Amino acid sequence: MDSVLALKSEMIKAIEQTLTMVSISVSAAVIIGLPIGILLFLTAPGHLRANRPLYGVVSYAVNLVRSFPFLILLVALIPFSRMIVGTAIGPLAASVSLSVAAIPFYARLVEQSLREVPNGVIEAAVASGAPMKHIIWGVLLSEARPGLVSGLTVTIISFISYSAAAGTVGGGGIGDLAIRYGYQRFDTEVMAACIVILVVLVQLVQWTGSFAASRLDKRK
Amino acid sequence: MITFKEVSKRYKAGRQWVEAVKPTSLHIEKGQIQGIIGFSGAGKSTLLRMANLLETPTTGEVYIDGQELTGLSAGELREARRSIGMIFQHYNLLSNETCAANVEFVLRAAGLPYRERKRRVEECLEIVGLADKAKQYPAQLSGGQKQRVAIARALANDPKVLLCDEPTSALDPVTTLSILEFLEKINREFQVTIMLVTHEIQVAKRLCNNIAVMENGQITEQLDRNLPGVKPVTPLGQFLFDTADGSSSSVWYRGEDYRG
Repeated sequence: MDSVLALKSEMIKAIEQTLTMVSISVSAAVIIGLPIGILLFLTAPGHLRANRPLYGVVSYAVNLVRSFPFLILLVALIPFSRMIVGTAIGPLAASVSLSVAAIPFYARLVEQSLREVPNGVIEAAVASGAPMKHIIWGVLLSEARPGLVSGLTVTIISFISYSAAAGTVGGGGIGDLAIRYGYQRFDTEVMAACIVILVVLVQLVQWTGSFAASRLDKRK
Repeated sequence: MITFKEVSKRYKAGRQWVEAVKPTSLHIEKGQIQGIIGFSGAGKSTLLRMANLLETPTTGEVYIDGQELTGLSAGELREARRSIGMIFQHYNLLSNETCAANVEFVLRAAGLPYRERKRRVEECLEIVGLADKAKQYPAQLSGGQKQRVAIARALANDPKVLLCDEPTSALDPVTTLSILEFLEKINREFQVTIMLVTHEIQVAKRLCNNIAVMENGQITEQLDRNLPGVKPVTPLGQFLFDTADGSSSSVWYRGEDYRG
């Protein structure tokens, strides 16, 4: 227990770093991944704005980024991180790579959720003469919102875990602390403490996400 | 009010071309209730869905109130669709929105200001007798009530035409009757021209001034219900009408190409 208490300030700093990385990458996922998901849905063959070439290109790009093992993506993006935030180490630099990974991750989940919206409901809106922006906001995002929130929950949890890998390039965070003290210095107590923090964090996110999704779902 | 001029619909199913509707013409006068009856796969719904271009005709033209829909730009078509209401077999309501919000959705498309939207939503729910359900979600309503919300939504923009795609096929007979009464009232009070597709001859008989029988993508006969003593002449027409009377007819329908 002593070793954990001795590292108290470093623990707090690590939690802050994890939260920074996760919130930046998840925000990027929502701000950029959500529109890409909508684009994928709308341009898919047989859908409202079917456009095979555009769908093909975007879908391929999404798959491409998602095929990279995260650690390799992280290293490959070092120059890019340096360009964006001026440095290749620290939570901000890691957030760049995390964001690049989170955007296509969430985009696919968004596309999937939108496909759950019954076609008839979309058709009724088209038949009423609604413009595309009303169909997107009032039908697609509104009808799919439980799925969109569940997808966001999955994204947050995955990226809490990814952020631990970011520690290896100097990203910091709880995962990094666990690896440096727990794994490399055989300090089991610190490792256990880090894992407890991660477990609590993940549980909290999952519980909040499930609660929000069920509150938003008026289908039954 | 609604005119189909030699419209047809062909689409590719796998490797084969399917002719859902063969070149067909139909004219529906203002204020009429036109029924389209036939078995499933006859092309009834496809024909109906060409009336607001949910289905684009492969050939031919569609006119609503003198305006050729088939010649419009995307923006013009959206505007034209606001005066064409539509209801569906499975209601197609927004399940995450209240009844009031469902009706309001189509008013927002028309660009109505907030206060007027609220007023119109109330009016429309009042017409279908559901003013007290405004704040409820579709899942909390019965099938008949859901269809009434859908009718309120279809009426919101004061349509000239109401398209009904099997509106009572998921409902029990008593609820069916109540929906038909609402449709009748809308036709009478607001002079809305109705085109209704159904496979239930009872529904067509109860509601329609004119019934078109469809088979294999074609209208094979049209019965004007305003003229007394009009009898179906095609085997399918006779079969449908006989079934409706419950009489044991000697005429059994043997459609060879029936694609049920």
